[in-house]
Amino acid sequence: MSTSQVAWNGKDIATSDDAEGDAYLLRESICSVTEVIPSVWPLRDYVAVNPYAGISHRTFMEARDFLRVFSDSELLMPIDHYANEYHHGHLTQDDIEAAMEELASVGISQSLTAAQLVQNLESIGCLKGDLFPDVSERNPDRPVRTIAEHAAETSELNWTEVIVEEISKHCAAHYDRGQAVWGSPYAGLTLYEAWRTVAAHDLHVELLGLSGFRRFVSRLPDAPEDAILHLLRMLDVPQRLWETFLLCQAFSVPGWSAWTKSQVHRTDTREEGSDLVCLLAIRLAYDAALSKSESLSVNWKSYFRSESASFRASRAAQGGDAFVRYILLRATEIAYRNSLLQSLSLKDRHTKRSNDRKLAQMVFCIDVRSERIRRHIEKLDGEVDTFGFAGFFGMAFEFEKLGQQGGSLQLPVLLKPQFKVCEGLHGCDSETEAAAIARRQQSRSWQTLWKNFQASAASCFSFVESTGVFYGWRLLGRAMRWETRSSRVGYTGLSKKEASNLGPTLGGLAGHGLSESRQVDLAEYMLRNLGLTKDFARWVVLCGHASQTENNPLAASLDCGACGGHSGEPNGRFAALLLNQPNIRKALAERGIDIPPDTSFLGALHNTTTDCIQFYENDSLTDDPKASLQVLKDLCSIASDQTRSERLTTVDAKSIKSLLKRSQDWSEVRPEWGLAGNAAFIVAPRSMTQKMDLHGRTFLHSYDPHQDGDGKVLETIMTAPMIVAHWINMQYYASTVDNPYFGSGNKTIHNIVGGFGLLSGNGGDLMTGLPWQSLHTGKHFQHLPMRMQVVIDASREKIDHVIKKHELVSNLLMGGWLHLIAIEQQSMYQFTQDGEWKLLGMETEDKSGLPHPLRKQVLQPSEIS
Amino acid sequence: MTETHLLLTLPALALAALVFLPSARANANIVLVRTLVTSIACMQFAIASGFALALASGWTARMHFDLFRLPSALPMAATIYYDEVASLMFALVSFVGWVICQYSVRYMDGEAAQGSYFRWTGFTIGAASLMVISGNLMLFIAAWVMTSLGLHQLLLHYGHRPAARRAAWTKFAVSRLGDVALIVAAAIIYDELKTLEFPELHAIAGSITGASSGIQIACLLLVVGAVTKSAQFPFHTWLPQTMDTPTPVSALMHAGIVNAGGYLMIRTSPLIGAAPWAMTTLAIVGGLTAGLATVVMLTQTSIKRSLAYSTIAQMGFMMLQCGLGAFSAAMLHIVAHSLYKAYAFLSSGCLIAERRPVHDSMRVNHRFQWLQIALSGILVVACLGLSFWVCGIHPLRKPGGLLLGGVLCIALTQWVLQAIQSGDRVLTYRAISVTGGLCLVYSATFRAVDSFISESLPGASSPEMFWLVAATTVVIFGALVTLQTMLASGYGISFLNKWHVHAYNGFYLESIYRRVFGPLMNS
Repeated sequence: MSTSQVAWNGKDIATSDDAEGDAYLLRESICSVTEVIPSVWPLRDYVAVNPYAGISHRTFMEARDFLRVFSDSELLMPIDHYANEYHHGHLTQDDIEAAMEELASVGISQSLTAAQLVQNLESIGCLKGDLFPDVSERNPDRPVRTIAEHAAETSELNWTEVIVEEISKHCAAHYDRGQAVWGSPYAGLTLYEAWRTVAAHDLHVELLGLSGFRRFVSRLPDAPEDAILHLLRMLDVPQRLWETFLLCQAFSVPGWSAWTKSQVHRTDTREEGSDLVCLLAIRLAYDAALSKSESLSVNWKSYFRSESASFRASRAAQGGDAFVRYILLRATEIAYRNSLLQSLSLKDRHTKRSNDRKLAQMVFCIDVRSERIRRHIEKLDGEVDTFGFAGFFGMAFEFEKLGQQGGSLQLPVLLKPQFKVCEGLHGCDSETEAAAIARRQQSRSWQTLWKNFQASAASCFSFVESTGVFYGWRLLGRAMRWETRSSRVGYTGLSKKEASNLGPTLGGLAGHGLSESRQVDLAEYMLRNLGLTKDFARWVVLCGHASQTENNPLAASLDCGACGGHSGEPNGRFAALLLNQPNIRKALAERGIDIPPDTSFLGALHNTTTDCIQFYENDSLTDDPKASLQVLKDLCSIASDQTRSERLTTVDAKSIKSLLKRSQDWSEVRPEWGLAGNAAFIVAPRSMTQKMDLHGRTFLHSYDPHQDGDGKVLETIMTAPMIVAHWINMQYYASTVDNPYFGSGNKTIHNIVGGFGLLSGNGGDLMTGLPWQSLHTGKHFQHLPMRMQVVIDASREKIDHVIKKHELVSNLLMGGWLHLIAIEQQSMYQFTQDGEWKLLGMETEDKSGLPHPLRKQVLQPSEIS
Repeated sequence: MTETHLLLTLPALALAALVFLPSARANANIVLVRTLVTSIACMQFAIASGFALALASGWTARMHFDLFRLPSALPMAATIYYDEVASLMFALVSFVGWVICQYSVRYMDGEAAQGSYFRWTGFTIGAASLMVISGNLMLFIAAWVMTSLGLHQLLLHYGHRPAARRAAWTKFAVSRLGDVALIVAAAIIYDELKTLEFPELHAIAGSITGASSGIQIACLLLVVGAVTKSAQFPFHTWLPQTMDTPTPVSALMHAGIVNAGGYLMIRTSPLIGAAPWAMTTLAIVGGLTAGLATVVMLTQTSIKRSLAYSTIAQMGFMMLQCGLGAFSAAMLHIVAHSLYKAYAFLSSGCLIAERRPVHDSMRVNHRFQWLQIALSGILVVACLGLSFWVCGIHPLRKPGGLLLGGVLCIALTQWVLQAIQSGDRVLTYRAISVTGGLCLVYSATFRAVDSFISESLPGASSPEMFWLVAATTVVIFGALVTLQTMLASGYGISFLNKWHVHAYNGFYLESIYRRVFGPLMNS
């Protein structure tokens, strides 16, 4: 628990003057740094990343202490935020008491009573305006600092800022994907080599006052590891501090650290983590050169005088306030948990309601945005049942668009693609398709040629003179809102009719890594995990989702996370195609899943910005008249309308028309809220949550414990969708509480760099995470930072089994990164941080007349399972 | 002032009057302020385009009237001169201003300071509008300074960001230098010619044959003013650094405000035309800026910075056109560039979506073949010649016509050559027909602008030492073509590797400015 241990990490193995030992120690330190640094994806496949993934084996508060030894990172909202929450009635004194009681058992306590705390909150009162914590002076007692930060006391120039800009400049050139017409000549080298070659000529920092830097660079060792070692020795950093100091270096450029670390996942040619090592060497070189030129030396001894005490002292200084805020965080979570659990209907959730065959079963993504539309569809006339399932429908493939080489990975980042699916034209012969491909390539070549005209050195002037007038027309079109572009992107070179026939195909699957027997496995796996193995309706709709926004570099962050930040359309349509194959159905029947011949699977797409649902009829099985499909479509269109009306208030739109317009408005910064507000993950049959307005804040995963005797399905859910949902939850959490480190600031000054990332304004660090506009309405937070509450309808025994088997899951639960509630018959049990089950109160009765555990929010002493 | 006069100036005056609205009040009534400002901007666009059409079709005549005048011997008056040049610029500024206001309604939504943002945006648009329709140097300079001060407030919209403060104050310092140059120039002009009114200055300039040395110096000072405003070498460094300001402010700056320097040159072109040395300076500074900034632009890795360097280069080219005496061409360039750049900035977030479909790029065979070059050259010259003939343009009779026509030909030739080298026949035909279309569009728009504004421009004037200007132009464009060819083909580019880093750093002018102005910002 002590921070000092965390920071020192027992690195006393190596003695000085022991070169081999030093190298070993360095490798160890680098490994730990690589583990701590989060990942980031390029904008095109912007997947939610949990910035705390590398430190989740620590408890929540230990992780905070750990980060604050070497960075200004913050895991808790300022107390003002909770004062606001209290003022708005989002938490009560009872909740605070409950939180205090709970946290006291894990050693987090402070001197105030709940009543005193409430008094404090009341005295702070309700605040107006921007609540984003400021970056400056957030952690004044931080023990470990970079040399540039030490230099800030004496130097006129802000070297920390200059170094970040320099690193950003070099990294942007090195990783550029086609923004620069004249790209870096050294992109083929490693980052370190490229930087060394360039920095030996680059005059910029010398002009700013860091004299002799070019010579300094040219004398550095050739290999980045050697350079780090050399520089650490030069700075005289004690070995026990290496890891912490390197972490401090990495966290001074968090965005590029994450980017360089992530290069690992995609290129297998180089050694793992090698780009991050390069970055560390580069960052250290600036520090070392600065220390030399400003003759700055750090008194490292001061760290040692009382090695364990010094860090602990700093923690105690922040500790009091931090504990209070932590208790308040827990109190808001408890308040939300209680209201959520109260709204669940536990009665008769496993009994089947009727034996009539439904018109349709619609499977949606577990995404929180599905909750609203599902509720409205079900509400209409009970003719449709809905399910929640990870939006890639168990189909993890690489999707290659028509006429393209290399495709997008349509799967959660946890997995690897198993096969490749090609896009094709349905109902067309191969000649038509070949002609379409040729036309597509033609129009792409034309776009390239046109781009060359626009961007070339000699022709850019003439380009402007001869085409400027057209841009005037387009400006007018955009301003009058008659020109929208996104509708045609993706259909380049195709006629309207052809575009409507475009879709994933089953062609050549065996050749792309999916034999017929594996196709059957895939289909079976999906249906069993979904819990849909009997009572098939006339239509089974597999509904993926995607957003529709204009002029939005972060568009992918609004798309389906389970599909790797892409649209879920190909996955849903592919799954439907597969399940409509007669041979697959025959094989499924042999394995005990009987699909009636008149059941047709159908792909669909839920547009989360407009809430329209588009059906892909081409994928359906039967040629018979689609009267019943029309009924379903009409139903969905009414439900879409109702969902939009419900969303009006949340997006502050005056009318449905203006809400719809946002999907095509190039000036819109809040087209939709994405997953903002997400707070819970419910694994249960839909009947438990049906008819309840969950405000689009819950991931809903269908699960029927009675169909899952051996707990295999539960295990899958708890190790895959639950983890992905947790990542998303943490991405929103981190972007809210710590936007300077893990968020991407303000959208209005975003500047796309290298075609893959975002800068804020002129330069500075690469931005990761979510922007202010995706979290805050301008008046208040749309996303309230809370750790996710997982509610599972299963026995504690079964859940325990999964927790014991998977260390990752137990770390998350014991560390307080995730909360878990089990529902057994009519009782609810909270999984506590010390790994016990605690019965949640059973005193009063709910509306149905049955006892409800949480009517009065009093927690009973635990009754251990 | 009649009703017509009032109608013409009222929206601009109303926008400029926003300066009296305290920011706190504006921020307390955000919806009202943003709706009001956007409506006024929209109204001004409607009025400006109405008046421009009326003037073009001959319904109304030029207007020259007093906005207000102090009863004094000194020329303390604000007058309006609404002629063809002014009408075109007025319509342009109003259009861009309206689009930007409308864009900012949603884009800046939720910002606590959106009211103050609209206050200063409205004020800046109003000031820029007054500048383009001003009838004398007095109002022109006043509006010029007001524009700059309004922009300064917008650049400080995120004043908590150090980079924003640095850019704003660097720009502030450079602008004040330009202001001083303009004020001294105006004083000399008044001293020599006893008037500051544009129509009278035009008439006097038309009648004099050799300008006095005083006028020569005044014109050089006007050039200095223009060069600082239009971000020309070596005063350009503030422009690429202003990205810590919201996107629509960048659009306003790049499409509406940096033009002011060029507009000053066109507005005073009869005077400038009488001062050949000023033109030589202008042409060489412009050409140099165009060349350097283009090279820097090619190396930039972020969209907004490369757009900024593109603006600097385009402004340089426009200054070169002014220096060559091709004021109509410069005017066309200002209009076309403004529209293009406003669109480019406002849609700069589309980049990721646009990238998506362009996956496999075409393959170009870069073998150097004289036949292909000759073929594409002949095709382009034929297209351009034909469309000049159709539109009735005589390039030899236009100042700088041959040079500027040459630039256009080289650009198109290089492009058609690429299409031919791709070996794709359909692509080639398409490129050739588009070339024809572009030539025609260019000729038609040039002809339209030229015949519309030519009466406000000097007859024929050319810079002193024309051979030097011509040689500079040829060398710069030759170098750009060579560089582009090397980049596309990869031949010999390794020679230039070392220069990549210098170009990427903008040839260090930003570093030097930062060293000089940096300490200023901290205080």
